[in-house]
Amino acid sequence: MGHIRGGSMKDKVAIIGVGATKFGELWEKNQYDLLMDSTNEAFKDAGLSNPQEEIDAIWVGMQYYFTGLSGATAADAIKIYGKPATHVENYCASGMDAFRNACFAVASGKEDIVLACGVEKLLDEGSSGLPGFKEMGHPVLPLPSAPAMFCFAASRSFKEYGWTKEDLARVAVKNHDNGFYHPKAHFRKKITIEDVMEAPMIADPLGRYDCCAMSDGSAALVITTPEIADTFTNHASDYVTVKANALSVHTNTPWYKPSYSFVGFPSTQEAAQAAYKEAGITAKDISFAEVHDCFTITEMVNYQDLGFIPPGTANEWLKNGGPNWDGEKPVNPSGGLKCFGHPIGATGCRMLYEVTRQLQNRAEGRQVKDPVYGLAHNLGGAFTVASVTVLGHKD
Amino acid sequence: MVGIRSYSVYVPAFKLERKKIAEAWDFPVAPGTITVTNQDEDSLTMGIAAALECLEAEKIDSKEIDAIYFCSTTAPYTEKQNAATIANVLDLREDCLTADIMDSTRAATIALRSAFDSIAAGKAKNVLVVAADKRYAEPLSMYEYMYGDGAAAILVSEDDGIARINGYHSVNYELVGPWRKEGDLNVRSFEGKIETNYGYIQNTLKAIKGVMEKFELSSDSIKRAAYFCLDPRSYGAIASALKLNPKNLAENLFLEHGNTGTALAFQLLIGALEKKPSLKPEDNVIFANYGDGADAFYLQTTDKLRDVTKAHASFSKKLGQRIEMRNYNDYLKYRYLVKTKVPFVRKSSNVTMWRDAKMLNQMWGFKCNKCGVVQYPLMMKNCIECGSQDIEPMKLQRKGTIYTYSLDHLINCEYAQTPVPRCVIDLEGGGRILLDMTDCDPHQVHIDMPIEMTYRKIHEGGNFMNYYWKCKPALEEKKSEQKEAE
Repeated sequence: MGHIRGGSMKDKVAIIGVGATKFGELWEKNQYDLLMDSTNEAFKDAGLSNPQEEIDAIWVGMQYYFTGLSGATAADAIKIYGKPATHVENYCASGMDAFRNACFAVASGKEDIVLACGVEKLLDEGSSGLPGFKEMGHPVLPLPSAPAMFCFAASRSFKEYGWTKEDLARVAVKNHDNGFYHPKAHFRKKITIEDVMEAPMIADPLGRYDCCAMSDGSAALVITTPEIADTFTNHASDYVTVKANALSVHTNTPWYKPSYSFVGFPSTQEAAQAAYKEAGITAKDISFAEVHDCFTITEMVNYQDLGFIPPGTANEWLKNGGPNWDGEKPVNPSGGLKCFGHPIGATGCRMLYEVTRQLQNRAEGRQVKDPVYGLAHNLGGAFTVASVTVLGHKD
Repeated sequence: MVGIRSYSVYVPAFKLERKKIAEAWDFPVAPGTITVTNQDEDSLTMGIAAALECLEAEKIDSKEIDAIYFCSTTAPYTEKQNAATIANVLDLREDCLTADIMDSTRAATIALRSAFDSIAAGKAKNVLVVAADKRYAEPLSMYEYMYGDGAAAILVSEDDGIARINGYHSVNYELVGPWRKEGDLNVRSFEGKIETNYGYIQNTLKAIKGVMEKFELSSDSIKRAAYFCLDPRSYGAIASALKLNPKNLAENLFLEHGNTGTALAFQLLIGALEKKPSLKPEDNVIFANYGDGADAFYLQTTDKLRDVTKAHASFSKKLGQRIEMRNYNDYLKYRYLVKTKVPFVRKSSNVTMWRDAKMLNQMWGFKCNKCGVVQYPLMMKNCIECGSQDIEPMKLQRKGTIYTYSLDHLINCEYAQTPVPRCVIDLEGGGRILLDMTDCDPHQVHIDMPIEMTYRKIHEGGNFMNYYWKCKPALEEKKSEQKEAE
């Protein structure tokens, strides 16, 4: 555990409006359409009358160059010109990191009302796996596919903890069961353990149903100070505030680090501990979580890294229904990346959208019971970048 | 005195039964197998495998090498020296002579002659001769039965080694056949009888007779003979003409291996030296090669032969460990003989490849002087564990065991075989590395599996050859051989 910084933005930032597009194969929409849809919903939710005037600054999360470069992609989409607009790229945590940076602007007093959003237009590059690897990295040093990277954790966990492919399958079945009820989820289909076990292999032991969807989509949040939030009538009584916001970045290439265990991701562990400290809570206090289940194995590792359960027990927790929607600590009541979809740059904002609505008791899918603290967790790269945000009710 | 100090044979991982070629084209069935490279191999990578083993088997310091010759008719580069790449991977001295000797299956023995001459003249002490070929036969022709892929290396030195080279005799000869013109992929031939009788048989006989006369050797005195084999029948005809005892003839490799072009003569010689019953010290050996003329050498074994051959993984054992190709389609796929969808070509930069050459080719990593952790690659010059910049570059070992792995179906480069095992490996002596596995059954991969590294073609991004290491299952050969010896 490294040094945990002392500062805090607890209760300095309020979320007053959220919006998200449906996630899925949105062939007919481009990135501008998606951003316009998600931000329109967020502006309406916040009750902004003239967003071009009222929004002071924009942070937009995008991972791929073909989705867009620079903050101008968002400025163009919503025609807010002449103001700060910044593109944030931090792998799959791009969206939540855009939100984190937007929070700084509000918490510092520099800006009043800020837009944090994310978008990805994956399907324009085809639907078979994440595109763009040929453009990346060193000419010959090996670069596994995203599922293969996470398989390093699966193979190792199978060996050390005795987990099986069937344990992984329980994650997929649970998340599809949740996503079935969410009108904006990519897939709205329940699946069985057998479906998962018999699906074609993507990267052994991960089959098709162990991998999240390749989706298009966008999500957006309007944030401001609690003082200003009190003046917006739509959510003056039920706006949520940021309790903690942490980012931890490790190496791009954990396979060159001799001490790396592959059964836990230090980036998640450290971001979680920093967030709990900032919020003044422990993992026990988290009512529910939207976690980064890019692959089924990732969700199992996350339970442990986030401190929900002890290392090595994710399989038992799943069997006992702990992370179920009506379980001890619901995880991914939205359906998660697995079922809701994973347009990279949008996902972090989409999780915060979901957590906000859950806390406000207006979840569109399965509403968890009486939540107090909701956690959102993004993990990107080769377990490189982890972002953890804790949201809760206004004071 | 000049002698052979070390040697090695490289046998690619795959074999194709001739029966499967016959099935594909409705040809008369022929027995045996041909040896086929994986899709990530070329003459250069095979040559490097042979060269590395040649030095490592005898624990020879690569800095001792004064000259290296790379001999092939199928070198990946026609402009840009291939031997320079081998010299870099082997970490040879900067003043080591590097040369490619090309364009004839006789290239290997032309280089051997040159090595002999420079050592005899006192101009060099250790000369490494590497021969490799991956030749393409005309599809839908019986030449597909003939050719195999392979490599061999011979280290010639100033002492007698395992076999003293006493001298040679050479002839040159003009005959068009077989040939390849600039841009031809497949070896061409016109009239096989002329090529066999006037080219192969007559020239090989002339060279061997020349060296026998020079050293006054009778046929009876020759305890073993190894010479290029065009086909088993004419190979036997040469032995008859020379009145050699057929028992003393090297196995011609035609049945199991195929004609490996430039590498064949060395492979036959190595097979002859390893052949049972074992040769005794001071036994006479005749060795010859053919291609636009012929070279013949007179060798005499020494008392070191027995120990050295024991220390090497034997040729016959390597042949026995090849993986059977499922069908002829695999052969087409591995050799890029069918047009598939546009291959996924990774970007490259010869600037990056040049700057990183030591790290990529010679496996330089470093040891942290603060926390002691050995690591790879030497790309960021500070410790991944503790951040210290107090580091000491070191060359890492090319063997290890798998820490974790995945079998990747989502490939982002050229692979004929999928899934691709992506292996996180703990190297012997320290360092952790990520490597693709090749030459394997992916479903046999497991944690703690011992591996060894092999230099392969990764892709041709940037329109040049991008080479790097992969891993393959470790050959347990030496251990089992030692057990046999005990």
